Amino acid sequence: MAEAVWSTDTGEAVYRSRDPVRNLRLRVHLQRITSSNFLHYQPAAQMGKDLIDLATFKPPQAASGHRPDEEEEEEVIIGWQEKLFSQFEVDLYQNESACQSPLDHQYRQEVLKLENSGGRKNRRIFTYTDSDRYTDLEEYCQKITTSAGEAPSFLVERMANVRRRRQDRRGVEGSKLKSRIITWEPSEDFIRNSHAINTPLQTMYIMADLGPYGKLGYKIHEHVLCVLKVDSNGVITVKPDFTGIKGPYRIETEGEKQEHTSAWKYTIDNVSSLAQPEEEEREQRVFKDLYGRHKEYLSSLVGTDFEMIAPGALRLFVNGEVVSARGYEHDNLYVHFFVELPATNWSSPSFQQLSGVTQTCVTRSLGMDKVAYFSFPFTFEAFFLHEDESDESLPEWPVLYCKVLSLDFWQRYRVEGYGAVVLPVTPGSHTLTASTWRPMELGLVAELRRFFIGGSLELEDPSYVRIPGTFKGERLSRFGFRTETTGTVTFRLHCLQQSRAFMESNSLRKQMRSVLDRLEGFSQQSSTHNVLEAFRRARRRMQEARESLPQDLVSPTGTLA
Amino acid sequence: MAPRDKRLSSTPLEILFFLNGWYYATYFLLELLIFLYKGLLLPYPTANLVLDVVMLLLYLGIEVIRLFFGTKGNLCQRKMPLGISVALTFPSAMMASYYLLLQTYVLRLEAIMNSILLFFCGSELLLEMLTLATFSSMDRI
Repeated sequence: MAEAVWSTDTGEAVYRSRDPVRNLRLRVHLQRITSSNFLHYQPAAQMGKDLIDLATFKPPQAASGHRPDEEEEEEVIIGWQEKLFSQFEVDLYQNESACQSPLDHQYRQEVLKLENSGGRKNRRIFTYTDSDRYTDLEEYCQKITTSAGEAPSFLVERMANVRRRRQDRRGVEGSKLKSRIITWEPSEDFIRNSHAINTPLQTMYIMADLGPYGKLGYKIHEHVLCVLKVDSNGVITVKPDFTGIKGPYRIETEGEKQEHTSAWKYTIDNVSSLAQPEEEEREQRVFKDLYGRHKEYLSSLVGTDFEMIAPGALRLFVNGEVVSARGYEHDNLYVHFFVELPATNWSSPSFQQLSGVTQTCVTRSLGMDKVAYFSFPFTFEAFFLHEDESDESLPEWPVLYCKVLSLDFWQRYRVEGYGAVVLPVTPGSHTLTASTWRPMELGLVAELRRFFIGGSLELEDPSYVRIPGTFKGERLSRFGFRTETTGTVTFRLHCLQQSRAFMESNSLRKQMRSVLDRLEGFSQQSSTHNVLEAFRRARRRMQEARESLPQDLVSPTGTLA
Repeated sequence: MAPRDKRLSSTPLEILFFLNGWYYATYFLLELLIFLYKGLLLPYPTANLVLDVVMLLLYLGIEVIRLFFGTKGNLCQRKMPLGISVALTFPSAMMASYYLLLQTYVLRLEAIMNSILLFFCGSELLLEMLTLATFSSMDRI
C-alpha cells in the first residue's frame, strides 16, 4: 500500500513551447514524511485538506516538544533562471574573501541585501542557475547509462569528492586553466569531448537542503529535485516530469544516527500563466500583417508584367558575341556580320538592325596561329509565324553570315574570308566556329595586286556562301569558282525561345483525355443500343406467340360447338 | 576623291616604290662606305668630301619624302601627294646625275649604282604620269 502512493517514474519529459521561456513558472512543494502525517496523506491538488489535518494534530506535537512545522514543509514558486540562495551560499558570500569572480561579487551584493531586508523567503529549497559553476560540474559527472548497477570509477569518485567543497573546486578550475591552455596534439577523445554541441542548452537545477533541523548549510545534504534544460528552439526538458495527477516523488536521506534518517516527498507543478485571448489575437494579427507585407514586397519585386506573344508564333531572342578570329595572314582584322532571315514566315521588329561591324583588332601569336580577340556583343530577335498548318515542310532557320577583312596603314582593306553558321535550333548557350574562305583569282598578277594594292575580289552577294538568294533549280553548282581556305571565326550565341505552343502541349493532353471521354461515351451508347436490340427481339417473340395462340383457342371452340 | 569602288591604283608603280625603297637603303649605306674608302686612300680635298657627304644626306631626305608621297598618292588615290612625288623626282634625278658625273672621284661601282637609280627615276616618273592621268580622267567622268 505504501509503494502504490509514490511516483517511481523519474524519467525526463520533453516539451515544446513557442512562448518565451521566461514565462515559465514552477511550483515546488517539499514535505517531510513522518509517522503522524503519513496516515493522512492527500494529493497535492488538495492542499487545503492537508493544512486542516495538520492543524488538528498541532497541539499534541507542541505538547510533546517536537520540531515546528515550518521546517517540515515548504512551497516555492520559481521562475526561469531565478536565483534562490541556499544557507551554504548565504554563509559563503557574507565572507568577502570568498568572492573572486564578478558573479561572486554580484551574489554577495544580493545576499547582503537579502539579509538586510529580512532574510530569505525559502528555507530548504534553492536553485542553481545556468551561470553557476554547479551546472558544469554536474554535467561532467553524470552517469552514461540508466542501469542501477553502474559503479562510478576512481575518477568519478574523486570528482564527486571535489564537488563537496567550494575551495577545492575553485582550486581545480584554476589549475585546469593554467595547465592546458593550448593542446598541441589533441587526441581523438579530447576532440570528441571538447567539441561544442550544436544546440547550446541553458540549465537550471532546483535543489533541496535536506539536512536535519538546525543543521542547514552543508553541501552533503544537498539533493537535486528537478533539472530543467531549455535550448534556443523552444524545447524544454524536465527531469523528472511534472507530477500533475501522479503521486509525489520520494527522497530518503541517511544520517549519522537513526533519529536523523528521514524521508521526503515533493511535487512539481507547472503554474505558468496562460496567454490572454486578446493578447493571442493581437499576436496572430501581428504575424498575419508581417507575412502579408512580406508577400506584397516579394510580389512587387517580381512584377506582374509578362510579355505574351500571338498564338502560333515563335519568338527567337539571341544574345551573341563575336569571340575571336584565328589564322589569317594580315593584321588589323575586323568582321562584318549580319543575320539573314528566310523569306518565308520570318520577321523581325523594324527598329532593330540585323548587321554589325566589330572593332579593328591587332592579332597576337598564340601557338602557331595569330588570334584576334573581339569579344563584340550583339543582340537581335526574330519571330516565326506559322499561319498555314497544312504546310509540312521543315521551317528554315536564320543564318549568320560573316566576312573578315583586314585594314592596313593606308586604309586599304583586304577580304580575308567569308563564312556562315546556321543559328542553333535548341535554346541555350552555344559556341560555334565558322570556317572561312576567300575567292581567289588565278595568276601571279592578281596576288601581286592583292599584296601591294589590296582590295581583292569580293562577293557581290554574301549569301553565296551558302545558297544564293537568286538560286532557282534543284542543283547548285560552283564549278569554276576558285577559293582559298583561310582561318576561322568563333561565335558564342545564347538563344531564348518563347512560344504559346510550348504551353499548349499540356492542353493537347487534355484534348486527348476528352477524346477518351468521347470513346467512353460511345461505348456506353453502344451498350444501350444492345439492350434495346434485345428488348425488341423479346417483344417480337411475344407478338409471334400471341398470334399463334388465338388459332389454338379458336379450334377447340369449334369442336365444342 | 576617286570613287571608292574603283581600283585605280597602279600595281607596277607600287612595286617600283617598294623595290626603290629597299634599293635606296642599300645605296645609301654603300655610298657612306665608299666615301670612307675614298677619304682614306685618295687625296680627297676636305671641302669636296664634306660637300659630297652633305649632298648625300640631302639626297636621302628627298628620296624618303618622294617615296612616301608616291605611295600615299597611289594607294589613297589622291592627286596632290602624287604630284608632290612627281615634282621631287627631278631633284632626285639631278642628285643621281651629280654622283654619276660631277663628283670628285667616280668609281665604276658608283657609276653602275647611280645608273640604276636613274632608271628607277625614269620608270617611276612615267608610271606616275600615267596614274595621274587615270585619276584625272576618272574625276572628269
